[in-house]
Amino acid sequence: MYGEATLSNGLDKFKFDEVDTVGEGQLLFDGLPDTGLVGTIAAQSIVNSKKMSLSVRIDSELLPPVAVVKDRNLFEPLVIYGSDGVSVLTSEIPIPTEAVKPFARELAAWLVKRKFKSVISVGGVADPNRPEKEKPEVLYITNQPEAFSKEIDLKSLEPLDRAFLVGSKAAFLLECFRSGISTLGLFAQSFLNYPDPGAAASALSVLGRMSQLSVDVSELVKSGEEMRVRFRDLMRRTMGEMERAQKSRELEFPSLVV
Amino acid sequence: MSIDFSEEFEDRFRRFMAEARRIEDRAIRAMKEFERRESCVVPLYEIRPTKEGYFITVDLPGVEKEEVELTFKGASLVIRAPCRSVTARRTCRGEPQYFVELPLPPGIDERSVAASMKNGLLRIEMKTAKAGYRLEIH
Repeated sequence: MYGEATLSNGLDKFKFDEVDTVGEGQLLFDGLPDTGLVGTIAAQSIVNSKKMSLSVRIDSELLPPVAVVKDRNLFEPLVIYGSDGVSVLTSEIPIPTEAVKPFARELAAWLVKRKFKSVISVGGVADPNRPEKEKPEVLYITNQPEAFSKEIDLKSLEPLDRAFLVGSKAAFLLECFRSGISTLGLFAQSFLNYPDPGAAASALSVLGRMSQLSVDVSELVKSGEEMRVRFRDLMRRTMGEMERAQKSRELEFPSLVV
Repeated sequence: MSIDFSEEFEDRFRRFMAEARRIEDRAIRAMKEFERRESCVVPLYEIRPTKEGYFITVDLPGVEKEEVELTFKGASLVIRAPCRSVTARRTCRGEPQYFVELPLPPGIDERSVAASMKNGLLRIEMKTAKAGYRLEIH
């Protein structure tokens, strides 16, 4: 049960229920809730703009007993949408801290099993000077720059050099790097505790040349105010999980990296 | 007989996490009940210490600075503003309003408070009343 679950290293805690065909060679876009909900807002924007349909339902004893009601139907809060060779992972709830590592491991294993080609994980990196910035910068980290350099101008972005990453994205990126999937992490400077559609727009601008992920960013900016209200409750819950995952470490500097 | 410390640690970790969530959930529930009862939207906010006092930000999407009502009430700062969000209209009766009563840290000089607004983010700077005095080190 939620909060009472056994911690385990096994690969059997999460169930990936494929309700639609997941073809080989796909790209996974990770929009799990994190700093400023940057990835979640970007994911929502892609799903809506590309009119994607539900392809995978994900469930686990490690998640709280929550169901999402939509059009008189019930859905799991953690799902994958898909279309046109792209799968978008998104969630109505933050991943509980104790479920982060098992989920990252099992998701990476599922991606390998389903022969996914690449992963793009979008998130925020908290910037105390965010209120002054009209267009936040985007930082990146990747294990295979050549896999993305055709469609993304990585040279125009700053690489994430030395830092701590904490939370679901940190765990998932680690697993993807370990498993050898071509992975790109994009982190837009954002508010820590406020939903940040502006930062999501910055991150999505970087992906403008990827036809499957390109969205009209001006629409996102236009609806930004409504999104900030709509995502307020998810932000509150995500803040709690971020604190439990020691998110403050992202403000520290790794001691052993010279 | 050996004792499995990892199991004991896991058990304590589980209980700690469950308790932390219960406390957090109670606080969120109280806030959401307040929103429903009072037909308002409690905005997200952050209070940060500065060298001279405190810096507060309040997320008020869609609000212009002329629309914000800031009032000192005892040891609190009350913030009201109209909320035009479609999402808020679904849960509130009548015209929704942003409302939050922020408990102020002690020693605030009310005359030092300066507020500004940019892109729906209210920023309030306030100084503590006494600058303190320097201690000699012997």
